[in-house]
Amino acid sequence: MEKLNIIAYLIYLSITFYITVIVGKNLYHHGVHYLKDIFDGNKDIYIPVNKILLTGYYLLNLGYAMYMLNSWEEITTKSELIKSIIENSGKIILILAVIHYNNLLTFSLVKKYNHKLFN
Amino acid sequence: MENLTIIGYTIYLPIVILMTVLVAHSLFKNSRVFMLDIFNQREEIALSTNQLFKTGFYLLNIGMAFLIIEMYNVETTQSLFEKLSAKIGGFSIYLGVMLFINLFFFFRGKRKAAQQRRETQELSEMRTKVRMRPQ
Repeated sequence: MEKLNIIAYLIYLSITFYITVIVGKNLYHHGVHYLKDIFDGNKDIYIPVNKILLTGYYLLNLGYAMYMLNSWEEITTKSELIKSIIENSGKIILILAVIHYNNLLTFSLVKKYNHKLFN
Repeated sequence: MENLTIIGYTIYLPIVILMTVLVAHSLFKNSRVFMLDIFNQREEIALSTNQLFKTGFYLLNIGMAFLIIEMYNVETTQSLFEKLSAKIGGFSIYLGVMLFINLFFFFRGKRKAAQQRRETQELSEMRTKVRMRPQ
């Protein structure tokens, strides 16, 4: 019965890694315009900030996705296999969503108080 | 029944993903107007922000759809139908609420942008008046 757990881990890791990388690329690509506006087109700030955000995002998500393997239940049937893979991927995707909205909120706040922060 | 549960999952997953994609598509195709208005017709940032919101919408809804997938005690075909419709209906309601929350944010942003524009205009009018005043 050990085999099913390993299959689940493999599928789960490939799903989460794929989603994390795709979403990360998307955010990196489109976020740069947003950051440019927030930091008033200051190249010395917005390009490094974008890169640091991407790195932090990868570290956080891939790390957490792998860490979650720790606490998986024993999988014995096929329906449990599907259920646990999808459920755990859902958790990771929701965390991605929370981090994403948090970033948007933070940057809009930065824009609002930009003059106090950088001048 | 083991098999019925698997059938339930394989019906549930494509339906919820398709629903999310359709809703996101129709919402964010029409939100471009709002975004352009909010960002004063600056196309680059407006479209990027639209894209960022779209990504967030997808993540939030697909994550939630995946999280609630578990089905207990699917014994007969009838119970499969009942469980499946309860799941999909519940998710549909959730999706509707999310849609209206997003729409609310768009309207709020539009109102705020219009207010800001009015204030700047009033300010510039006041300045010109002060300048025009006879000495």
